[in-house]
Amino acid sequence: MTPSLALAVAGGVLIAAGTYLLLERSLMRILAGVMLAGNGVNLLFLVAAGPAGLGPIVGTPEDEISDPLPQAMVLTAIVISLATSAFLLAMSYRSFQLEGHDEVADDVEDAIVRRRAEADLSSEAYVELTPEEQPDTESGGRGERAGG
Amino acid sequence: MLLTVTTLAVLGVVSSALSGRMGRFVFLLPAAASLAAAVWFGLQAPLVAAGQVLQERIEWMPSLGIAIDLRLGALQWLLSMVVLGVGGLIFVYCAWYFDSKTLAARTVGLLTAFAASMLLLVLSDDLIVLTVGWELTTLFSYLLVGLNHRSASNRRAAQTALIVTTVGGLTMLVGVLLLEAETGTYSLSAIVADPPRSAAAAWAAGCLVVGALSKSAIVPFQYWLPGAMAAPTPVSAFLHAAAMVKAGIFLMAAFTPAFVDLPWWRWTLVGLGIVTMLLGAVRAMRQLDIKVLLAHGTVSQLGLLMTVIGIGTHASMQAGLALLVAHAIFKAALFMVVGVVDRSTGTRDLRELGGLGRRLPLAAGAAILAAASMAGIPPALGYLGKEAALVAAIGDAYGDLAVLGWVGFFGIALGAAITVAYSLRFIVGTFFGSQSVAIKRRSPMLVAAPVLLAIAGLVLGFGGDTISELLHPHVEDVPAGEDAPHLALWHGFTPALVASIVAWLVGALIHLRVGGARRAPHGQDLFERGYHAGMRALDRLAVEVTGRIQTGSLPLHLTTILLVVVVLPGGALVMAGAVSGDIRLFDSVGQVGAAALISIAALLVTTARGRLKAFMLVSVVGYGVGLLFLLHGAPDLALTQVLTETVFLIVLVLVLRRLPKYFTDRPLRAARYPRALLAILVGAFATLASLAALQARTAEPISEGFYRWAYEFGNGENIVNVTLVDIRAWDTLGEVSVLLAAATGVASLIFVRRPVAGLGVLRQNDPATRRGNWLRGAFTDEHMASPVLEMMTRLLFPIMMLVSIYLLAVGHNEPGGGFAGGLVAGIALAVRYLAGGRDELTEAAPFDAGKLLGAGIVVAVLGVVWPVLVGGRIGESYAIEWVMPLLGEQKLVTTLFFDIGVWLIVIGAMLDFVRSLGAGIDLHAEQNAAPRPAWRSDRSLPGKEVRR
Repeated sequence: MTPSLALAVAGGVLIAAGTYLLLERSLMRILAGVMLAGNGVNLLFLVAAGPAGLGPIVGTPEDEISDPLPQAMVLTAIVISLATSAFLLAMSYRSFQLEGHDEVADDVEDAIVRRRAEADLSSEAYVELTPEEQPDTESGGRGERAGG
Repeated sequence: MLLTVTTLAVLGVVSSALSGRMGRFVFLLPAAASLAAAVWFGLQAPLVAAGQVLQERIEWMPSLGIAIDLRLGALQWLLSMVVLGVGGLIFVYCAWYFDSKTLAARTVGLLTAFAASMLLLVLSDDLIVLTVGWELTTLFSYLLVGLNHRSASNRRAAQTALIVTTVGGLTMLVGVLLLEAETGTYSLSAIVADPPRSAAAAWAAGCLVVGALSKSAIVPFQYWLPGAMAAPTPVSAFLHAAAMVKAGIFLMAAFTPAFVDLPWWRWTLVGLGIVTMLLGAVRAMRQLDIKVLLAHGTVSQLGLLMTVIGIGTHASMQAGLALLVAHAIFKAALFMVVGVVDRSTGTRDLRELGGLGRRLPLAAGAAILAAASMAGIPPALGYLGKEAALVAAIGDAYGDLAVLGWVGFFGIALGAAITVAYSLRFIVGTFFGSQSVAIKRRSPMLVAAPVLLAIAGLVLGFGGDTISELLHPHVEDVPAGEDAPHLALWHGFTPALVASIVAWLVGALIHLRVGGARRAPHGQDLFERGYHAGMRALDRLAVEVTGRIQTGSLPLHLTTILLVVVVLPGGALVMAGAVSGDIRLFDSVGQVGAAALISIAALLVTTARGRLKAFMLVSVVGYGVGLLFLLHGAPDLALTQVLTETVFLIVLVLVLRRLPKYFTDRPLRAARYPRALLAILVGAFATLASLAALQARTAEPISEGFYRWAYEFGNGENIVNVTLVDIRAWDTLGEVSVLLAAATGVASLIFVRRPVAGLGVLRQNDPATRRGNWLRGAFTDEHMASPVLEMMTRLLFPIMMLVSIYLLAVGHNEPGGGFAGGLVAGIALAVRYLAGGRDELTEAAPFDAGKLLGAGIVVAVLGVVWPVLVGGRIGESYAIEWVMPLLGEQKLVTTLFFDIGVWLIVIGAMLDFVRSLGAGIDLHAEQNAAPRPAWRSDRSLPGKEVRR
């Protein structure tokens, strides 16, 4: 099938602008990016739907309507975008409420892992056994009985 | 058979629940079930001995050829008797071993479930179901070893057992799948009856061997078993002596008839078996904890079993199976005696134990009988088996088997000598000599089970003929060797007898020389060190890789992902030259105009510094996209898009009240250009990919038939709506669930904890002081009130709600539907809030949004599922037509109920948004908890009294 260039380019521009904003740290800008990119993707769905036509309502001649399936997908996508945007908005607000800004900081856990890697240590979850701590007792210590 | 498995499985669940009420006696339930089943299985003995096979089959996944197919042959019968008979006695023992006060409820459930899965393993003829049982036993073993999970060393022991046996189990699964690929069946009996001879089948056999070695703790996997002694003693007796560790031996015995002629089969099993036997025996001599001593003894005995089975003749199979039973009986008895000693004295340390024979005569008697069986002293069953094994090793030792047979013979004899030595070390060290520890408590019932088992081991020693008869059907399946002589206590003066006598003497000598040593055991063996080094290396590798790749910076992570998108699929797209010149420039002039408008707006968003400006531009894009939808012939999309944009604008402004005017400038300016480049590449990729995708399309769109189906099956004229509520109803259900989750998320982010007093918390003004000209909940403060807005709201709200219901009602045939209708109702609610504040919103919706969301999802789910109740299919739709006075002919399509569910959820979500981001933030401001934007800055001050 033959795609429509205008739609595809508009979709690409929205996605590019959205991506640019997504690479930020400010949640609000990320939100704007998500919304732009989301709209861009929805436009690409229209490209995939093929040529423009009349509304897909029974009664309209069948060969003149636009493809209904991508429309159904986009419709739910629109509503979900709204929900996601509202959630991000609330998150950004909460961040301002707690910190006074809404920038996504570097992950603390990742920093810990990086430091352990630099120090040539094993992970925190890894248990090193000392020689006298043989795993050969029923309940670890004599005092604490089995089945507890 | 199936009844037994299911009964035990059900008991596994039920008994845990009863554990709290019945205390330790809850173990008598599975004990009774096991012993009763053991009697039934016992009654099948004549059938089994006659070579008959009992079969029960339930189809499970016929299309994959997988069935729950239980098959009771001689081998299966033998193992079942071990699991049920020995297992039943161990359950009895448990009832007196554990203490009701400290007994964890899961113990009995896990142990019973283990018995069920072990039975499933041995009875199943279908290799997939067998593997399921196999993995279940691994899992229960892990949970039982880690019963006391507070101790780090126990956790580690449990983890080692899990990892080693799971690696083996998965390898075995690969083998099973390979076998199926070769033979086309998962049936064990079918494969054994007609074994494949290809190279792939040999690999499959190798995989099965790996599985068996890991499960039965054979070198190089043996180290997990002594560690598993962290489990309570009855668990060790059941899983790690009698039953589970026999699974590998069972598997090898079952597949010996099929694969024994593979050139490496015998040497591998015999070689590894002998190494394991000697390693385990030598290490057993060094232990101080008698339980761990027995554990190493078990490793050694498993090596012996593997060796004998591995020789792969009629006689060796018979001897191996007899030894298997003997080992299950005497080792379970010995472990239980250890439990008795431990319970009575509070220690298992050989340095503290001694001279208990006079104080615990019954336990000592049971231990001596069982140990005699272990050491191969006549007339115990163990002697019978070991003697038969020695006879078998050299019995058919001609041709290819000559060298192997003699290696096996000397290996077994040497192993037997050390076995005698560690048996003596255990018995003498515990029960003879001077007494050093006091007896703290006695429990006569505790000794019953080990005594019974020890006597059984002795009595069975005289039943050589019967045992031979019972084993015969499986023994004769082995395609090598001459007919096996019956098991007997006296074979005449043969090399085997000489070897036995020498073994007794040498064993006694070894015990005299080193058996009294009480030095602490030193360290781990080579294989265990290797395992731990490997695990540590894996962990270090994970830390290094994570430390390098996972920097914790969100932009960097995204950059990585996007770079991959651009380079790999993008590169492929360009290299393949996938986009051709077959492109239509535009569909209409309006499309070009709208596309240009939104492109410019989007570019401006990226440079905007003001928050409001940026989001106004985002809205321009949104409405522009709505226009494009309309031009494309998608009225539903356009309607929904315009409505969501409006809702979002309202919600956004509500939040922006409390946020600073400008975005921050902080993100590195230098990074701006690389980011822009990446963004352009991603956008270009998206454009090209969508063009290429459509150009490459050759198949008819799946929606070709929708036009007809929508009306014929969906009874609707609006194809998009029919698609949503009928053709793709599951999809829609998933999506409204997302909506529900997001709405709840927003509410939780604002209210953090649910207000205790419900909506009362949100109350702004006392109802008595309200003005109530136009709206009952309007602002009391006249400075905040806008009479025009109040009046308009009073007029508009009912109309908007009518429009909402109208859109819902006509949605099936014309643009509209639950989504659009719900959004309109949401806007109506938002208008009420804007005009009158929190009180007015409560007047409009005097209930929690969660109730609306919950009701909506219930209606939606019922709307999809209800046709099942009237004999239809899930998601089926019906049209009900009737004639109404005045309105004429009416048609109700049942999918409307689903759409009503969607409608309710959308309204609920909108209510949550407005109530949280509007009323909730108002409340924060009053409580001094909202952020306060700093003047002409990109920061605000955090809320002062924030509940965290």
